[in-house]
Amino acid sequence: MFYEVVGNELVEQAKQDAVKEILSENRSGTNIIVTSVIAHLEVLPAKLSEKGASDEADYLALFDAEHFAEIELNTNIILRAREIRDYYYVPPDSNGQGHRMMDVGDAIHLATATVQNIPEFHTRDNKKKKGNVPLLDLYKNQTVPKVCGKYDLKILSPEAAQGSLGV
Amino acid sequence: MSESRDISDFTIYLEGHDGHRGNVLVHAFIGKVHRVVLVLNRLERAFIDSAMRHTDFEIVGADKRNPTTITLKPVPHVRSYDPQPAFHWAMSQLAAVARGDEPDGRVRGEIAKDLVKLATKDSEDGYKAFWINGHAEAVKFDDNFLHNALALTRTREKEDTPTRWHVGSALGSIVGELRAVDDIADEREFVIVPPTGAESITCVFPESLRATMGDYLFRMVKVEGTLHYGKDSPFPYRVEANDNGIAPYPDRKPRRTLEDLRGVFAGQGRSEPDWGSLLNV
Repeated sequence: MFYEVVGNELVEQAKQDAVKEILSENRSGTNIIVTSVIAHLEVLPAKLSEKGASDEADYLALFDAEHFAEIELNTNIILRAREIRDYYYVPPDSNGQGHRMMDVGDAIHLATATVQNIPEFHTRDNKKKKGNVPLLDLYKNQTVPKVCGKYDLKILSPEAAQGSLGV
Repeated sequence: MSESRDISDFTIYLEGHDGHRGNVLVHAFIGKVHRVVLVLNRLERAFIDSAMRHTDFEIVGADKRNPTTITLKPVPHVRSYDPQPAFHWAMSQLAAVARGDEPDGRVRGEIAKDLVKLATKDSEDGYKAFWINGHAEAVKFDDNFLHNALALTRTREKEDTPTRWHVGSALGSIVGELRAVDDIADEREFVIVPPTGAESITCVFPESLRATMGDYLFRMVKVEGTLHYGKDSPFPYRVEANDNGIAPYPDRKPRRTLEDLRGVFAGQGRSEPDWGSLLNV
């Protein structure tokens, strides 16, 4: 989600408007945006240029623990990530098909959110690729929409119901 | 196997084994009928959230021809009870497991283990095949059902395993607002309120910081030191700050908003984290 902004990714207007709305609420202090520190590895450019250094510093300075909070890794998050990955693991069938393994980064993000008791998890991940588990489909085969069937977390792709009013 | 019928009763079918001229062995028949009734009673108790069964089953039909069948009708075991809602719900749960779908969350581990026993052949020659007529589709207690029931058992075991937090100490840091300092009796304690997670974390400052602790009061700070974790929470219950381990946070104030940073990394190659086999199950 961070990269959608700093990478200026092309997304539908409803999604752009939703992000604008979330950021507007963030500026006014009605929400706090929380992420695992591993998001930085996924967001920052692979190579650093002189101009990029300033942008990178400004990006990292966003995380003031008041509007944006980064959560460091610790043993409890790692153990939770392993539990989540194990829960959603699907071994291959007798034909070697149907194998599903959650991306480690996704597992860490979900673990961070559930350990920190974050109510909403925002992602655009809806694509099955290389046997991955798309996060927006995580609860598709579950009767209880909870991570591992027991940890509360609403997973959604933010989209504005109508165009931004620009307020 | 698809049929439309009165679903106030149901029939259990056991196809006899060729080794016994198509006859079903009596212990296999009785065992499976007993197991079906046991499972339906357990499902009913889960549905109505009761410790006792409310339903009996009347035998309303039986036939010895291969497959051997017995037709059962749920009737109230207690006064003024309608067994049909629980019966239909139980049938739909069996059908869900047969399809490989996840049943209702009330179908917990003990019932899942019963479903495994239901689909397990106790002997090779007791019967050839075993099924019931469900609502719309027959529910076959075959290898596929057994596979699904085993998977459900594993899933429920994972869900029912209580969370255990790591107990120990680690070098690290916490961030939050410093809300209180208590050094009346040389405790050297201060309290951090993080933006998320723990309500508050008690910390200890080193002697060397006593004179400057007041400067941090009601400010957002980062505390670096030894974090102690206990069994009751994922968050440290105590942090011993290092010498010079307390500093205002962040070390530089944001100059631009996230919207101001729109597109700053566009077109630049991104790191593709390769986590390899980390956390592999």
